[in-house]
Order: sequence, then structure tokens, then C-alpha cells
Amino acid sequence: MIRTIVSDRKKLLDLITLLAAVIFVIILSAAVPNFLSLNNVINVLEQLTTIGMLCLGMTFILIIGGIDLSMPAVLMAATVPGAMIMSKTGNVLVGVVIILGVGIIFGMINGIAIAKARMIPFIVTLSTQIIANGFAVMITNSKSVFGLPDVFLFLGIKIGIVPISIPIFFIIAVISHIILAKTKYGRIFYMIGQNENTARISGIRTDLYIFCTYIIASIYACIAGILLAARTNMAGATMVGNTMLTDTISAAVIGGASLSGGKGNIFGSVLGALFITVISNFINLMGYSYYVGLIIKGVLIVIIIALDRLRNRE
Amino acid sequence: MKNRIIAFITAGIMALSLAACGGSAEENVKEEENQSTSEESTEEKSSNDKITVGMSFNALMNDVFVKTDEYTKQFGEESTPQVEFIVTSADNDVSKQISDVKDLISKNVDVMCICPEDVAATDTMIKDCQDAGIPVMIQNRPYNPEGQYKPDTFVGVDAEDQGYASVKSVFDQMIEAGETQMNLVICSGSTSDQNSVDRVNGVKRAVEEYADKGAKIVTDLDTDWDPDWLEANLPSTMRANPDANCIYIASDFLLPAAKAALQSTNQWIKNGEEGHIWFAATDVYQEGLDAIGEGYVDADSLMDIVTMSQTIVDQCIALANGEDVEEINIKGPVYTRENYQDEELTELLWG
Amino acid sequence: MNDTTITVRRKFDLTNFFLSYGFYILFAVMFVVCGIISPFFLTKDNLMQIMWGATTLLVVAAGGTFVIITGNMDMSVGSLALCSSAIAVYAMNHGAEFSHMVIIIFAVGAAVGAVNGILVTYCKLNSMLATLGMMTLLRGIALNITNGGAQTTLPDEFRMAADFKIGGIAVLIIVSLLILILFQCILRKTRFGAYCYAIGCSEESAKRIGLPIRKVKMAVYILSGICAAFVGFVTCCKVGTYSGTIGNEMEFDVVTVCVMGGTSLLGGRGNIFPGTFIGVVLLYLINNILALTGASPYIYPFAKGLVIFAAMYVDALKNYRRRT
Repeated sequence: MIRTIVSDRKKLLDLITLLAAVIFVIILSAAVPNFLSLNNVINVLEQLTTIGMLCLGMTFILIIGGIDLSMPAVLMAATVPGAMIMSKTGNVLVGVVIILGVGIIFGMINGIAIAKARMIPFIVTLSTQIIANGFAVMITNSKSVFGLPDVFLFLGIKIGIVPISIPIFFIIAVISHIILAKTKYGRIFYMIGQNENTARISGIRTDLYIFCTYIIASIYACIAGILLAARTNMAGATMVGNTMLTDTISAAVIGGASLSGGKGNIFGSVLGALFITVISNFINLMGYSYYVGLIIKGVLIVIIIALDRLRNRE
Repeated sequence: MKNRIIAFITAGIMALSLAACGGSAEENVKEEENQSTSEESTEEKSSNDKITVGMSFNALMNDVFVKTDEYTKQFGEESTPQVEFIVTSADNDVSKQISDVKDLISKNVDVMCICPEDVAATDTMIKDCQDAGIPVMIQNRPYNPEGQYKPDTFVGVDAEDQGYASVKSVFDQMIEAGETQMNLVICSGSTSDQNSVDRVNGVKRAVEEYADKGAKIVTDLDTDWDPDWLEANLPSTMRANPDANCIYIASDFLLPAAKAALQSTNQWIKNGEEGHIWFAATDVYQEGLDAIGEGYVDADSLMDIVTMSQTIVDQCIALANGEDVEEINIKGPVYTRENYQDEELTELLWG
Repeated sequence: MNDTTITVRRKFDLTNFFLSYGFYILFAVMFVVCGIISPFFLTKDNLMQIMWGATTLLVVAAGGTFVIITGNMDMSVGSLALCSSAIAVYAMNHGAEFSHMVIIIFAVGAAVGAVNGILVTYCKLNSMLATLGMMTLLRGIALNITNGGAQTTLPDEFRMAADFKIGGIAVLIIVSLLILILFQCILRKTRFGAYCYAIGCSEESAKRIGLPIRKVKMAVYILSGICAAFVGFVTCCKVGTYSGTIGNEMEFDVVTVCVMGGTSLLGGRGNIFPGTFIGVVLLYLINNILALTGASPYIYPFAKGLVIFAAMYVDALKNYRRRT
């Protein structure tokens, strides 16, 4: 009984988000020249992969009731050493292993501190963020790495006109969706987010799940980093900007996740990330200044959060 | 219900503040809207009437870029055929700049003009443009010389020479004044900014040249173009190195911060007075020129933005017509107390 | 038997002591180490330089402590500092004088603080998300009206304010410290301060015993806004120019120093003096020693990260101990 209501409500929220997105797209395509051209659609989707991938990881984290401020920083801290090895030795396998390894180490630091030491996620991931950022700056001296091997750049090539990163992203998104919506583990994630104590009492090893979630988030950050490095043929401490963190969190929240946990789904998060990407594409195509874009984005974030709040009250 | 009303009121207030504060911006927006619609129609008529150039800046946070933006727009309007610039700013974010360039490609610009945030990323952007068949120009900051792809042209300043000429001029003045020790503190920009790196390389070349006359680098402060950081930390460096007697700053952008820092250590002293710190700079902002006149700054090499902007516009037209153009590194003169009021030099000023 | 119990207890006390004062011990160790590394570190001029650097963050962190003690967060402080000075520059370009500019800076701070407060108290939005949105918005407004944050020379009065000294100490340092002490008194000695703690401990119980929750929260946000505006003002004074780098990434710095100083993000615990104060000074101390020794500036973020990491983990261990 309760579950059907929950799932109905979830569907309803999805529907509303989808409807809003469709209306948004219609308005945009009417207002902006070239918006729905094939080139631009692919362009937007390609830009979506980075923030989208981070947003997938963030969705997992938000569902279990945590937050991870370190994701964009981990992306850089993990990708940079891997890229350095790759450009020096040309060995892609070692490079990718290092990227994932460093990412997982950061994820484990977060996970242990939050799940085992029961520290507040915000503080833990904030200090991880500062360290990860400093790490990336220190090993590169702020100088970016370039000249990655061709085998690695395979990830950046196109099939026809579609860059390979787009199908990779959507495949990963579908897998994540299946894990969250169809498996036992997905239900446990939601359960922990709704009430950790209840979950623990009903025999779930909550600390293990929370620990794993932070590692999962770091892996998503690593994949995002790998795709981004392949797409741009570089890695460095300025790979992603300061706004990426805010964008990721906003995208997940726009997509229906809640900072208090237990809510959120992959479908919504992908739409949220798409929404954020489209805003900046729209601003460039219209020739507005970037700063007008910031204003528009800020207002929209506040309004959407306010609407979300109203929706959840009723 | 009450909550909902309050929520709407807040949204209203925010919309109002948007309208009030963004006044100037909205005008721009409207203007550009008109432009974009008019551009569409002209595009349909014939593409020769007006050339659209996609101008991707790394950031518009610095006078050099802001003025380049203004001058290119101005010269673009005056030239025949007219050149229209569609400007994006990446806000110091490499991946955003790459996206910006793609957005501009979607916009079907005739020529792409890029001022790169990070030298390592130019390869990708040049490739994207060339795949789309759009001629690409790198302006101001150099492209990656080791990259696989070369832009169709580069218009910039000879940054290495700027650093070299400015410091050389100061060293000459110091020797003339009878200094035997020349202990230099370098305040550089960011290592991802090729111009800043080149300037420092030029400075190092000058120091090597004057090494037998007592020139030496005391320390190299990397500011990452953050004036506040310099203001907070230069005093410590000056105190820890009391023998330092000359400073080079990689841009006049940092001059107010350096001035404030030296004032706090009581070392902001005019030339000719006891305890003067010899000062070499680059870019020639208005503050820099004033400081030369007052006697605080001894040499300032010009970043010739006016000539650079004119060349950008000329070359954009040539590129749009499919002509070949040559890469240009514009050298700027060095301003000192002797010559800063000369007519030919004041004409070049942009600050 | 009896002896062993005593030793165990004594041992426990020692660990407890280290955990309770771990952050201050860390600070003292850092201080001594810095003094050994560089002979210039312990000079009066240099210590004054650290304080001078810290003036920006001190006040905003004090305001931030209030917000965090009530169990909320204000992520918009950095952008607000930028925005308030940007609007003042905009006014200057339209003929405003120094005094008007100062009034504008603080008025904008209070106004934006009030908007934050309304969003959080009356609209009941999540404080972090709402202020994150405001952060983006304010930055957009600021960069928009100042042409992307291009450098602008300000009236000379700003520099004069920075140069003004009483007894050899810059007046800005004195003002910041006075504000800090005043805030600490408000927090500890007044009813308002007690309300802040009560709301932070449990908003439900605070509501039940009839505390004016909304008014207190509004006041806290307005206070934080004014403090953020003060940062904009001080930064303008220090350099004498406006540039788009004002308040860059300050929001996380504020949270960091508050938490290092023992303020709990869950609310209801923390103090401004000495906690937040030492936190701020520690940040600038790392900065200072790296500049003194001429270390590569690229090590700075990592070194800062390590120290913060250590401080936060010590704080967390303390809580872990208390709980078990």
C-alpha cells in the first residue's frame, strides 16, 4: 500500500519534470536559432556526459542521505596522475588503473570517515575536496598534461557523428537505473536514506553500504574524468571549474533528489543535468554574456528548490 | 497557503532585483538579440555582407581581455566588410571553454577566434574547429607548440620580449645609478598562462645576461593572478629577503596589490630617494603609467592591445575570404620616465 | 586493583585532554615549528602581517559561526562580498562618493542577508541549497554590472582607511578584533546568543518553549550578510581597487575555519573566540610561512588541505569519543 503511493508519487514527479523539460525545449527551439540542429543536440549531449556522470554518483550519495563535495576535485586528482603516466609511458592500462585507484582511495577515505567514524559527510568531503584539489595542483604545478596516447583517445572519437562518450554515458545511466530501481541493493539504499536506524535494526549492514556508496561515487567521478580527458586530450587542475560542484548538486536536486535523503532517481538526475547543460548552451547560442547566464541559473535554482519544497509539503 | 504566498513574493523580489541590477546587461541582451536576428537574415542573403566571428575568451576578468573585447568590436564595426563578434567567456574553466567553442561552431560562425585558458587544451579546440571547416585563430595567449594541430593563424604579443625588455631597461637604469647588486623578486602569473610563463622566461634571460654585473633572482612568487594573495604575501617575502632591491610583476593587473604590499613595508619609495625598490612591469595600465610619472615604476613594457585588436579584425576578414595569413607576434615598446610622454608612445595606450 | 583503576582513568584523561584541546595543540605546534623554520616568523611585523591578512576572513567567519550554531549554512558569503562591492563600484561610476559607497556596501549586505533569511525561515528551503542558488545569482549580478569584474580604481579614501593606524596597529585589525569580541559576548552573554544555541540544539524544542525562531534566524542571516559585506569593504581598502577576485571561494573557507574551531555543523555547539579566531589565524599562518620560506605556491593548497584534514579529524574523533 505504502509502496504504491510512493512509487505513484515518484512517477508523478518524473512526469512533471519531463513535461517541464519538454515545454522548455519547445520554447528554446522556437527562440534560439540552431538549437535543434543535429550538431547542436550532439554537442549538448557530449557536454552532458561530464556533469551527468558526476550527477549519477551524486544521486547515489543523496539517496543514502549523504553529500559529497569532493567529486569534482576527486575527478581532477585521479585523472591527473593517470594522465601523466599515460603521456610519459604511453601505457593506457596502467594509466586507467591509476585513475581508478586514486579515485577509490579518496572514496575510501570518505567512506571510512563517514560510515565507520560517523563523521558528518559535509565536513569529511569538504576536507577531502581541499586535499584532492591541492594534490592535483601540486603534482602538476598548475601546468596541464597533454599528449595522451592514441589508444586512450579512442574514447574521444566519434562513430559517424556521435562521440562514443555519449552511448557510454547512457549505458552507465541505464545500468545505474537498474541497480537503483530493480535490485535489492537499490531498495536498501533508499531504506538507509529514509531512516538509517530502522535500516540498521532490520539487520542491514548500513555502514558497509554507506562505505560502498562513497566509493561508487568516486568511481563515477573517475569515469567522468577519463571521458573528459579523452574528449579534451588533456588533464589538469583546471579541468573542471568552480561551478561544477554547485551544478552537480543542483542538477541532482532539480531531478528530484533531496538533501535529507531517501529520494531521487537516475532518470530525474539525467534530466536535471541536461537542464543545467542546456542553460549554458542556450546562453552561448543566444550570445548572452556568461554572467547573465549565472543570474538566470541562480534564480532558476532557487525557484526550483522552492517549488520542490511546496510539492513535498502537499 | 501563507508559505506559498511568501515563496511567490520572494521569487518576485528576485526577478525585480534581476531586472534592476541587470539593466545594462539586458540592454546588451536586447541588442544582441536584434543582432542575431539581423545576422540570420543577412546570412540568408549573402554571407559576404557581414563576417561573424566566434570569440571565445578564457575569462573577462582582466582589463587586457575586456579591452581586447571592446577594441575588436569597435574595429569590427568600422571595417569593411563589417565583422561581428559573438563573445563567450569561459570563466577560467577549460572544459567550459571547449564547450563554448563547440557552441560557437553550432552557431555557424565564419571564423573562430580563441584566447585559450590553458595552453594544453588548444589542440582539442583547434581540431574541433578544423573538423567543422571553420578557420581558427588563436589570439593573445599562444597555442600549444607541441600539439598535433596548428591554428590557421596566431595573433599575439611577444611575451618573452616584454619580460626581457622591461627588466633589461631596469637593470640598465640600476647600473647607471651605481647599484652593484640586483636582487630580483619575480611576481609571475599562472603556469597555465603561456604568456606569463614566456614573460618570466624573458626575465630569466635578462638576468642571465646581467649575471656578471650582479643580477640574481631572489625568489619567484607565483600569484595565479590573484592580487589579494600577492597583497597578503609579498610583505613577508620582502621582509625575509631584505637584500631584494628590484621587483618584476608580470602584469600591471597586479600593480595595485604590489603597491599596497610595498606601502605596508615602507618600501614604496620614489626613484632617487633612499630605499627605492626598482620596479619593472608589463602591460601599461593607467595605474602603471601614473606610477611611472610619479617615479615609482621604472620600466613598463606595453601590451599593444590596439594594434593587436586591429590585426585580429584584419586577419579575421582575410581568413573568412580564404586567404593565407601569417602569424604575428607584436612587440611593444618599453615605457620609462624619459619617454612615457612621447607622442608616438601615448598614442598606443589603451588603459 | 585500586591502583590499576586509577592509572586507567588517568590515561583516559590524558587522551581526552589531547582530543578536547587537539586543535589548539596543533596550532601551538604549528606556531613553534614555523618559528623554528623561519627567523622572521616571530617578528612583530610578521605577526601583524598575518593578522592583516586574516582581517578579511575573521569577521565573515564570526558571522558564519552564528549561522552554523543555529544549524544552518550560508554559502553565499563570498559572492555577497563581491556583489556588494560591485554595486558600490557601479554607484561610483554613476557619481557616488566614498561615504555613499560604504553605506551601499553594507546596505546590500543586509538586504541580501534578509533575502537569504526569508528563503530559509519563511519559505523553509534547505539553507545550503538556497544559499548556493543565491551564490550563483549574486556572482552573476556582480560580474554583470562591472563588465566581468574588470579592475576599477576606487576613491583614495579606501586606501586611507587601510593605512589608518592607532598605536602602530592598523585600525582594520583593531575593528575586526573588536567585532569578534563583541560577537563572542553576544553569543555568550545575551539572550539572543542563548536562543541561537537553543535553536541549533533542537528547533522543535525551541519552538515548543516559544522562542522567536523566525526572528532569530532572520537576524542571524542579516548579521552574516553584513559581515560578508564587511569583507568586500576590507578587500577594497587593502588593495585600493575592485577586482572580480574578491571573496573567491570564501564560503568553504568560512565553514572550514568554523568547524576547525570546534563549531558543530549540526548546530548548538561552538564559539567565536578562541575557536573560530584560531581557525582563521591557522589558515593564514600556513599561507605566511610558505611565502616566508619561498616555497612553491603550488604546495600551498595541499599543505592547507593536510592541516585542515588533521584538524577536522581530531574534532570528529572527539565527538566519536563522547558518543561511545
